[in-house]
Amino acid sequence: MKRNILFIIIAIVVQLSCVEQVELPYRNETPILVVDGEITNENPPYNLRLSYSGKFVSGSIITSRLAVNGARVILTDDSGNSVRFRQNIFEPALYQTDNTFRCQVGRSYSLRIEMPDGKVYITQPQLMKGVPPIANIYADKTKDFVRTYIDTKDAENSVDYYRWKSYSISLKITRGGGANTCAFSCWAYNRDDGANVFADTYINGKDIKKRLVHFSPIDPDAPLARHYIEVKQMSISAESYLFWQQYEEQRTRTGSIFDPLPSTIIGNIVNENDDKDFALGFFGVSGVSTRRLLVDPSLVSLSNEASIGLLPPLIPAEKPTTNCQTAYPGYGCTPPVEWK
Amino acid sequence: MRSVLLSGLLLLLAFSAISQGRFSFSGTVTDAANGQPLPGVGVFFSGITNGTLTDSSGKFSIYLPKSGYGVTVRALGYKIESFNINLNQNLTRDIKLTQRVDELAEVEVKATKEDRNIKETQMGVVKLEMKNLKKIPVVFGETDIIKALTLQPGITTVGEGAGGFNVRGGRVDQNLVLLDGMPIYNTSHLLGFLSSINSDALSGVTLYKGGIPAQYGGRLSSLLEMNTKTGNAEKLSGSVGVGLITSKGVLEGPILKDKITFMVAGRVAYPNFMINQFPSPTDKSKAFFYDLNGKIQYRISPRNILTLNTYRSYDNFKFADDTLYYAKTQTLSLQYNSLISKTLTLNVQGIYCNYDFGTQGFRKDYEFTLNSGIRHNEIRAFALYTHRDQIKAEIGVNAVDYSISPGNLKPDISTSSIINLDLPKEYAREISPYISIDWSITSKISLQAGARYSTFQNLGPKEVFDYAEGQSRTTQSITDSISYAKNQVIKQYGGIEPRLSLRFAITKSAAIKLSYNRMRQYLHLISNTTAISPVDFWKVSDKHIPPQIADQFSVGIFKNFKDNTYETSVEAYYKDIQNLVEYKNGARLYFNPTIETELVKAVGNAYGIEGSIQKNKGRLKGSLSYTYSRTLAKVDSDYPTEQINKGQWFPSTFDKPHNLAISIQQFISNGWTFSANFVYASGRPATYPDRTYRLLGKTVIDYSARNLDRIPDYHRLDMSLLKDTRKTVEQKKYYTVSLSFYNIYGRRNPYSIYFVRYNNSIRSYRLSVFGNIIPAVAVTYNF
Repeated sequence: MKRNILFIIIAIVVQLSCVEQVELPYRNETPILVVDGEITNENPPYNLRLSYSGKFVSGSIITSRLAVNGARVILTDDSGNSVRFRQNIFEPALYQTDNTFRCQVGRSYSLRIEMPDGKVYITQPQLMKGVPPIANIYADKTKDFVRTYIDTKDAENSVDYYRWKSYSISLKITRGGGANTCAFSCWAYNRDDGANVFADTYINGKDIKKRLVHFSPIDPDAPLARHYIEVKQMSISAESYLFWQQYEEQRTRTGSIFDPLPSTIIGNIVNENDDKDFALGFFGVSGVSTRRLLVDPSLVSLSNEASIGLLPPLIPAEKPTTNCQTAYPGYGCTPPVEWK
Repeated sequence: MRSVLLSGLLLLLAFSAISQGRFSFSGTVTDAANGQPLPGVGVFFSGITNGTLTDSSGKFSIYLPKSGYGVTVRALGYKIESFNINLNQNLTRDIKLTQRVDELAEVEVKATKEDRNIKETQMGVVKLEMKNLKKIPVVFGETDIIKALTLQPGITTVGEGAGGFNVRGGRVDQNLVLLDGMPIYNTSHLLGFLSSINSDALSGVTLYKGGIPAQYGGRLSSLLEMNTKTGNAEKLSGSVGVGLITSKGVLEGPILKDKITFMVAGRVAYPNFMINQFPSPTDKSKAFFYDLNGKIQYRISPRNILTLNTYRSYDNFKFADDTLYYAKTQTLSLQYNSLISKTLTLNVQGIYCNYDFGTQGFRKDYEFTLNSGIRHNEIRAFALYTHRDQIKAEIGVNAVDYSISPGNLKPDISTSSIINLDLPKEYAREISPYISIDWSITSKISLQAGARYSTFQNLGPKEVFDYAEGQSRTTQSITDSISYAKNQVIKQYGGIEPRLSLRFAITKSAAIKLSYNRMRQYLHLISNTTAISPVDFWKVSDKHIPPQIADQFSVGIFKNFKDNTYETSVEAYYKDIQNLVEYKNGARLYFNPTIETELVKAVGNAYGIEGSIQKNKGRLKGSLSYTYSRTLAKVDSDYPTEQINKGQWFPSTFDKPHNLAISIQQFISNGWTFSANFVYASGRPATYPDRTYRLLGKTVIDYSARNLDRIPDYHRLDMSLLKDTRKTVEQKKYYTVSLSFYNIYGRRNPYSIYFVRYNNSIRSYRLSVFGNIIPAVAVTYNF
């Protein structure tokens, strides 16, 4: 019997499964067109990024090596109005409309991209749907984050898909250098890299309650500084919902039996003459409603509830030792004056 | 025969010497347990080179010079009996021999014919010896039928902890799993870690990889038949066992002497301590399961038997705090078996089976229960006619009524935002008459030929969508919807399914066999994950989804050596499959009212060669098998969203070309047995990234080709020690204790390789389910 007990104890000590990082080369197929952008009923200009697939290194700006140069991009609505997206001279992959063409809810829009090599990629006309306003916006906090939630009411007689985009501005403290006024502390943007989407399939016509929409990191050296949060609630199409849902799935893979088989994410941009030749990425058409929230961390309650529906961003293990304005996507040396 | 001649000869020699002061020593050797005479037993005498052998009735007799002798009686499988005699007159002595405990399994094997692999027409058959099952080392010390099966050639799984099994390149849903004739739709507990049938309740397990008898149909790849024990007719007996994650017990005995017997078996799990050993967040999960088997047999008369069988299982698995998966199976069967005359048997069975599974959500304001299920009612009847052991003819029919609930969503409390949603039920009927004949044409040639005519009808009530011709099926291409009334036939499929096996005996110990069979499958498990997951669901064939059809050809050569001590075989097969269900890239499957828009038709093929050597006798038993096999699929469509790998053949997820399995059991002494397994398999195909691109300012991984990469190879060594405390075979109260070491060199076999983005670089990770040696102990008490 003594021996039996001994082995049970060993079994308890041993950890069963493990996840290890391994080095594996991956294949690199020929580069293809990638489209990333959307139009909304907000004020122009509207942005579109055109690039090629390829090996990316750090940094968020697409280098000119992988940017599409000299494409002719035209946006047309269902009554025949159109506008050109023109290449930005400072950021080669960025194409922008002018400040006069404003998109409207209720209209359909289609995009046409004429590539420098003569290929033409198009999207089918997409309707810009309206979106209900955000009913409530509120926050709680954990040790590391201020979490922002919204409530809204889903429309009863329609199939609706939502996407939330958000950002916040918060105070950052670095161990950095430099001589300018905010080398060690600055106000910076926190943006989510996820695609927070939702379908009303299971709640049609009811309230969407306590939807988690943003994580704003609390700097341990400035736990009481304010957080300036903006949330955009967007209507998206069924196609767009499926696209971003797959995007999220691939981003949050864990290797478990619940992971769907990985596959390419097919968007809505296809070669005009060959429907087997499609571009990566998605061109979205959305109605938007926006709400802002100002959070004073000392005034919100500490919560130990799990975060559902959204993954918190990674927090670097060590604080940057460079200038605050270069270490973070800077907003400025002082916080926004007005936040409504 | 030889022994009779030999003893007769000795007898003659002895007679001639009677006058020279000799005396006879004679007697009968019997089995101490049942009094059966033992033929061919050697009786030896000290100082005499030639002893004597018992004849066919266990009798022996020898004349020897007057003297004192030490007598030794030896028989295979029995303890040696020794005593002294003083031969100064004619002596008679009856000798009782006691079976050796380590040879119990041997006796079991003898119960089935030793050379059945040569003599039977069937090929591609795997029979598991239940007595040997306990000796195979297993993870957590849990004896497991499916894990034992995967040591056999042609039977694999996609990974450790994955539910189900793949037979000859077939999918998990292509196995017909029957427990006393009742279909088992969910073969796993704990999301796949263990199989759902308690092995202690079973008397026999047979898997047909090919040459499936005409009596069975409805699945493409295999038939797994499991039969439970029939209750002990003499006295109450049973066993209780305690292991690391489950405890189980069996109780059996007579209810009414010579008339009614019962058997109940149950198993209950406490896996939470094991789950806690997994890394976060899995360690915060909680799980529970139990299963129950029951059987009552009533001998109405010696020729008429009524049997009631039932099986019940329940599983739940709670992830973190907010989601719980559950699965429950309930089956019931009533079987009537009648021996109408010496040559004619009639069998009628009614079956009810209900499998329910679903998810419960506990998140505040979103509380819900989402339930799916399948109900299967079946009647099967057959008559079996036997003519002089040469011809066995069977005629029968089975009729199944299916009702599937694809999904029913409801809020658990009134403040929940979740709405009531009910996907329409699916109804279907399958009626399949069959005829089959087993004919020993000559002593060298035998034939098993059969045909099954299966008819399947998808029935109303249902709203069925029509899609525009000449384009990919999507929700946008719906042109019409047609409403069908209750029991109205929406779509009918069917056809003849020939089954043929042929055997040519080359010598007494060698045979060549051929087989061909066609199978149709009308039920499909819809799953877009590598292994079966708790949200996979069954779907019947309908207007848009035709039945899967497989044709399998196989050929084998079988040869036994040294009086059936060694069995060897080489079998080769080729399978051609039509209408496999594949999924569009990024398919949404669960709770989808237009599921046909996510499915595409594929063709498949599978081929392989399986070699095996088995040693069935002696203190060392074991087997060695090697399989080379491939399984491929192809989806070629005119529509880009339906194409996979540009319409080229690609390996299926469970395509593992090389498989090697070695299993040995060495009896040591005093009830100790040492066992070891070694398995090697090629890594399964996986989809690795082949491109990266930028979206929302972040790097995104693209996977443009399916299954063109492979995870690293799998190999593992397990060992176990089993102690059986029996001193004699009659001993009813005894313990067995098993001590097992799974994955003894702690190899981190990859379950999967996956890629995630870390900031803007791509990192690859290897997940190993059992990344360490796993010791375990299990104790069983028998009474």
